Amino acid sequence: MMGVVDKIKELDGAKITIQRENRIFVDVDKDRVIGTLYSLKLMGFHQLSVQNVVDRIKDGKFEIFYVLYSHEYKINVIVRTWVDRDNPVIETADKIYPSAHTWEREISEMFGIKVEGNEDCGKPFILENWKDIPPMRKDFDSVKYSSEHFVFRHSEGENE
Amino acid sequence: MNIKEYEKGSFLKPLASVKYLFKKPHTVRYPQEEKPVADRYRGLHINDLDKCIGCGNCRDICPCAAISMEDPSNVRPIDINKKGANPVRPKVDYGRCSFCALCVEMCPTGSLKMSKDLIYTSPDADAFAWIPREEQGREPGFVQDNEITPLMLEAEEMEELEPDVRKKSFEEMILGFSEEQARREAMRCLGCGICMQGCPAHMKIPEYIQAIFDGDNEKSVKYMLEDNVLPGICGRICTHRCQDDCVYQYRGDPIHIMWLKRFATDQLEDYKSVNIEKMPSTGKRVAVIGGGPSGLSAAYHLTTMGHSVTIYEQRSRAGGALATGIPLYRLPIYELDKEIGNIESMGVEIKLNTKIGEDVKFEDLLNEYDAVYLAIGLSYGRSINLKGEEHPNVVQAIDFLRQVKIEGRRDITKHVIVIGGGNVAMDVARTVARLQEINYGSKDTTVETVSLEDWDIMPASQEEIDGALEEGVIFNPAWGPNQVILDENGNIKGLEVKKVKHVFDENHRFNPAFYEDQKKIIYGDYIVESVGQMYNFSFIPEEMLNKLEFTPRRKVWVDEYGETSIPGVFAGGDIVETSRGDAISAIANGHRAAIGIDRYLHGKK
Amino acid sequence: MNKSYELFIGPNHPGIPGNFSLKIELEGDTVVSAKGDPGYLHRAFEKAMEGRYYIQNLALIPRICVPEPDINEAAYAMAVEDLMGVEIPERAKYIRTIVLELARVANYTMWLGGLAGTLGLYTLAQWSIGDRDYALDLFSDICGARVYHMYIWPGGVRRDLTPGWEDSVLSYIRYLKNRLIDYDNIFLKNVMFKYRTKGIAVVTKEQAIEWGATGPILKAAGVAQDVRKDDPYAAYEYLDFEIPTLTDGDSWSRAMIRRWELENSLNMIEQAIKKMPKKGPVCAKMPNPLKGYVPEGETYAKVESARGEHGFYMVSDGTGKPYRVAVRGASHTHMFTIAEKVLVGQRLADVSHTLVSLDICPPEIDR
Repeated sequence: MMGVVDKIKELDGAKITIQRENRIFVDVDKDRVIGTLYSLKLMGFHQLSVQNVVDRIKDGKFEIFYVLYSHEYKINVIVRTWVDRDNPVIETADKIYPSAHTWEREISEMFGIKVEGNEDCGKPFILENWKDIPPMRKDFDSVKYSSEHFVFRHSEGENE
Repeated sequence: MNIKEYEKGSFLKPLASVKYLFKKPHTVRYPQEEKPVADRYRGLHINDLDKCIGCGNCRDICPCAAISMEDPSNVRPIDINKKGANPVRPKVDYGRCSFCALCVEMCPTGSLKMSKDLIYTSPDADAFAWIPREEQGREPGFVQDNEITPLMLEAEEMEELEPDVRKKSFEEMILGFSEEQARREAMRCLGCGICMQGCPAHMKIPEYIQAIFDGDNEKSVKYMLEDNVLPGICGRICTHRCQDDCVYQYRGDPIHIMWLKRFATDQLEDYKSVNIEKMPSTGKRVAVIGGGPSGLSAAYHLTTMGHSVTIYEQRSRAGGALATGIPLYRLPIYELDKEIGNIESMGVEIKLNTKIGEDVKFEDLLNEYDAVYLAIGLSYGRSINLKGEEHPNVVQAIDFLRQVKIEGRRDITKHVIVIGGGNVAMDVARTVARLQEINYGSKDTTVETVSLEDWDIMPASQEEIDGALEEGVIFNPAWGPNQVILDENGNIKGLEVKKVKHVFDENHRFNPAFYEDQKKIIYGDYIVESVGQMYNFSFIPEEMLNKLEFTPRRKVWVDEYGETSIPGVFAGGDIVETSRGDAISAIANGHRAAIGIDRYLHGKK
Repeated sequence: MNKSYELFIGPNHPGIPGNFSLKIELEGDTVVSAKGDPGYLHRAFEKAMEGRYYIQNLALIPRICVPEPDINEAAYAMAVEDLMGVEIPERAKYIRTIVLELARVANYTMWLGGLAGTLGLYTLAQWSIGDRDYALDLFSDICGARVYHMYIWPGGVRRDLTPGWEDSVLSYIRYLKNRLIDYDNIFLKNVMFKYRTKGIAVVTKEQAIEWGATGPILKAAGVAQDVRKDDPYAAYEYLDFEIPTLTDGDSWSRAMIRRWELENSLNMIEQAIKKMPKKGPVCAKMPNPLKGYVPEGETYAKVESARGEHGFYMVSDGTGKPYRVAVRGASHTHMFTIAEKVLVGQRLADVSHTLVSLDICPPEIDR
């Protein structure tokens, strides 16, 4: 019988890195993500632990990762894909993993990534009245933002 | 766990709570009662302001930017002249502090602690910031631990040749760091910059160590050259006062700053790509008398400022004491060639074997050049008026070292006595040990030193003393030379010495006294005097020398820009320096004089 | 006439340990829809961590989950150690285990009080908060702080245990085991408790797996999954324990699972204290925090929190500051994917108790 690791290795168009026995990185093209996630779910990777984004500003890309887990095999599979920073669009995974729905809302707000097929993306989630660039992007300078929007209070007092 | 029991449920069991009606409550009735606080409690800070050195590492590690370094004089005066310290102390803003105690972990002196006290109230929001101090009377809680600390307290081991190997030749004995060691050592640096105060040249030490850590040796040497034109030489022979100030000294080993400098320069074959950029030529000409570190430093910086510079050197080699005095096993010739060659490559002209006063007249220099820099150093040995001193086998250390280093002398007698307890005496003794090993295989040979100073006040550095001991040098501390003893053929038989009572008198002045009745003879056939050097101004015409002002300690008087009392004549190096008279001080005042000369040439004065 | 109306629960509400709001739409007193509204507690920790040295984040990470801060410290330290390839000393592993389990005990006692409070039994709430305080005192003894311990750090732990600390822990365990009998008597074995929780907020096994539940929710639905067993960290591989499971997946089962785990934790601490090496280093040698770099790489470190899988996804670009840290708190999924669905059809009176039963911890959502 074929082991699950071998099955993962046979995924179409995926680059597999086995970091250690129970942690496997699967790098795929943006277009293949949903298909890969679906195949992995069929293999038994039922749990989406976390979906989030790394801003690879030097490469001009957003790295989107999905940490999956299988109760059966006790393996973490981390699916990674890259989209252009200029036009970041991904397809929703919430039909496969319901919990992706909220993660996608969060990343669309924090990174300004458009998620096609997730109707809640674009609605305010955590931020309210945000007018600057998405705050988790690397080019957003939080120190500058706070110095522009808030008064720095320097305590002068020296009297016990 | 029996789930069944829980599934059943009960109406009566909750009545068990009734028994608590008669129990003592476990609440603490504050403020009538006090709850004991843990020994490691992380409360408000305590800082020993006298122990604190204001290095600012607490501020750097603070995750909340709660610490600022401020002048504490309005709360409690501190010793602002403390060596290796900044006159500021941490002020903590408790509106920001997260009580993580990382500042305590990182404090290199151990002055900062957390207290067991966390209660402080005030209606004034600004009152929640103060300079913590011991006078506030808080009880210590969380303190640092040398076992578990984010600081890397242990230094990298430096490899050196074993005593019996290094004695056989004049090969450089310190082997230098490997790349990996250098990066590990550079990683230890906290970047606080306290060391910069100790360095006479105020080199940018944190910056060049950071560059070494980043693996960018070129950038590192670039930083060095801004203040020190002989970084590779200083990386070998410096008195490293920076290391004496390194904040690691309080809890561990200071960083080997000197050897890191050597590592970075050793990685570059030449400094062409890292030299300071030259400014356009000004057409002004400067003469530098003396090719020692101070003269070279001034010449280099003046050249980068666009002036044309000529160095006059009386010996066959530029470098001054570096070239003639420091033994090969500490400073190899190729390093001198590399760094002096670099200065020449900048366009500095060096006239060797040219003695001012004989080959060239001093007055002519004054007329020919727009400015003159005097950096002649202390190039003559000082005699101690010992009885029998005129014997040809009684020589001066400076001459002896020069003969061995650049004149190729390799002969030596079997029993040598070195008078002196300074670093130069150590150089002589260790050089003699090598020559004896080369000539006689150390069979039936002795080298002994005699010094007025006892072990505890011996001026030589500990490393040098240890090195000499390892190489078989015999010490006679606290003995003063009395007379040279000759045998019937007129050869030296030995040195009569008498016991020293004290070296310094009650006023801490140098004024040795002896027990005249306690004498002994140290047997030997060759004596090297190493008790100090002096300058010789005989090349300056009398009427001009009279105009030259001296300080009470017989050093040449100069102003803050290195200018002497004769306009256009600047001075630096050992003839000015009153401190230890090391290469780095000479380099530093060479740089200072270059700035002064530049100002003078631009008519700013 | 419009029959339904909207009701805001929170941002301050006794049923939610933190600032978090819930918009529910009601018809009569039956919930028609529920939407979580986060953001009241957002401190941008993930962003703030990118600008600080690895060690400085020690001050931030415990604040991601207030009732149980040590899981953050452990997961963060494990991620850094994984990237650096550092193996921590044996004794440090045991100390971490003891601290993590003690934190779990503190968390569950507080949770029990919260559950009892939302069901109207404030006696237990007073008791259990009081008993949690004794655990906090134990933390204070070894690290100097009651709530934000900052005790587990990359390389091991920050200080060795104080002399006699193990004995204080053992006597606390004895005390708590006795108290648990009374907890059971007045609350868990109380018929009122059974009537209020049986069949409420059911998450079936299929749903739990489909929705990505972890921790007690999954165990109550019948899946024996626990990071401590599946991917052992600290010293869990040396300890003997079992993962409790029940099948109903309702509020009652989850309470039972937690009660069971509480007892397991107490036993595990006893075991760990017995097996722990009595001497030895508790922290590996680490590089200078102001300069030390972490090799380039990506890793995911996870631990089992009282609420489920708690993980740190860490990306290093080879400098002294993390390039990206993404935190996975169990409550993120539990709130938006599970609670929003499970609340539908509940009575208003059960809403806050359901939230406690699912153990929604808002700081994990608003990181």
